[in-house]
Amino acid sequence: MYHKKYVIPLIVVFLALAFSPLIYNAMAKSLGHYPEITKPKGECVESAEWMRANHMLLLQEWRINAIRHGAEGGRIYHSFTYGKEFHASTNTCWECHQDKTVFCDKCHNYVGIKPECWDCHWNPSLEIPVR
Amino acid sequence: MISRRRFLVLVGASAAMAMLPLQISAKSIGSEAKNEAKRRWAMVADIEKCTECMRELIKKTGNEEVKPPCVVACDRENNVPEFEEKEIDPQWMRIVKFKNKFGEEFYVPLLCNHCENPPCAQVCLTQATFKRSDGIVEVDMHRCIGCRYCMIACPYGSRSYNFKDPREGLREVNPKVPMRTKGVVEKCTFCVHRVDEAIANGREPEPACVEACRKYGKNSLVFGNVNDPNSGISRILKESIVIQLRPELGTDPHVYYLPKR
Repeated sequence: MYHKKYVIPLIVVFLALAFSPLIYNAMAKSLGHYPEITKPKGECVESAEWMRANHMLLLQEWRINAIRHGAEGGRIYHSFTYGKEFHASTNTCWECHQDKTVFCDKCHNYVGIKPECWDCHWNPSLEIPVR
Repeated sequence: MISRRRFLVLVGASAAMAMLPLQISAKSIGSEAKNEAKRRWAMVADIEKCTECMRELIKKTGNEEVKPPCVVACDRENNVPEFEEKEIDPQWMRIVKFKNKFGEEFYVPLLCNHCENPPCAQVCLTQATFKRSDGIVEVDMHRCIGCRYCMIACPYGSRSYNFKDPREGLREVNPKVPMRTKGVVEKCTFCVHRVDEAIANGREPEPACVEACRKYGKNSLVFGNVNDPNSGISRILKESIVIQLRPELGTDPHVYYLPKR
C-alpha cells in the first residue's frame, strides 16, 4: 500500500466523521430514542397503524375532495376500516388530538419535517395575532 | 404602385382584423356546455334597501366608511384580515357609493360575481381557480402561486392579494375557514363551507352576509338556487327587472341587483 501514513489516518478521520451522529447520540444516551407522543382519546378515522404510514396521503385526499369535489359531497369521507362517515376537515382531527405540540410536532421535529398546513389552517395551539 | 385590387383586399382584411376583438368575449372562450347541475347558487341584492341601510348607519356613526353588518359578518366568518394600509387590505365584500346621472347616490355591495364563464378561471396558470359544478368559483390556495393574472382578468375587481401574512391582521379566528398565507389571491366563496354543510344536513344554505342582513332586519340580500324554480331567488328573478354588472362582457355574473324602483 502506498502512502500508508496518510491514507490510514484519513480513513479513521472519515469514519469518525461519518459516525459522529451515532457517537454523539451514544454519549448523550439517546441512542434508539423515539419521540413519546401523548395518545389521544377515541378512535381515529382509520386504524392507527395505517394512519401512521399514510396520514399525509389521507390529508391530501381530503384536501382534493373537499375543495375540488365539495359540490358532489366531497366533504364526506367514508372510512374503510370502520365503515363510518367523517367530515373531511383538519378540524375533525382536532376533535381527538387536542394538542398539536404533544402529537404532530413530536414526530415531525424528530424527523425534521416542517409541514406548511398550519400556516393557514386552524389548530388548537394557534396564537392570534401572529407577530 | 399598389393595384386597386390589392388595395381593396388589404382594406377588407384590416376591417376584418379590427372587428375580430369585438367578437371575443368570456362566453366565446368559455365552454359551451350548458349547466345541467341540480344546483346553481346565486345572490340578489336590493340596492334600495342597501342604500337605506347605509344612510342610516352613516347618520348614526358619522363615519363615511362604516362597515355594515354584512361586511362585518363576512370578515369574521371568513377570517378576512384588517390592515391600516388601504392599498393592501384584502376585501371579500365591500360597499361602494355610486352616483347616477341625476346626482342620486346609491350604496351597492360588491363581491365576487361567481360568473358562469369566469375569466379568472380561464387565465389561471395552475388551475387553482376553478368553477364548481354548482357554480361557485373557488380558489384552491394550495395551488395558487400568487401570479395575480386572475386579478387582472376579473372585470369586477373582487379579488385581493395577500401582501402580508393575513394572520397579522386577525383578532379572532373562525376555525371552520382556513386563513390564507402571504402570496395567494383570495375572494368571496359564497361561504362554501356553509353551503356544503347545509346540503349535507339537508338544510337551505345561507352565507354569513345574508344571515347578518336578515338578522339586522333589512332582508336586502337573498341567496338561493336558481336551478330550482320554486326557490325564493328564482321568484325574484322571474318577477323583477334585475341588473347584472357589465353583462356585455359575456361573463354572466350570478350576483344580481334590484335597481331603485
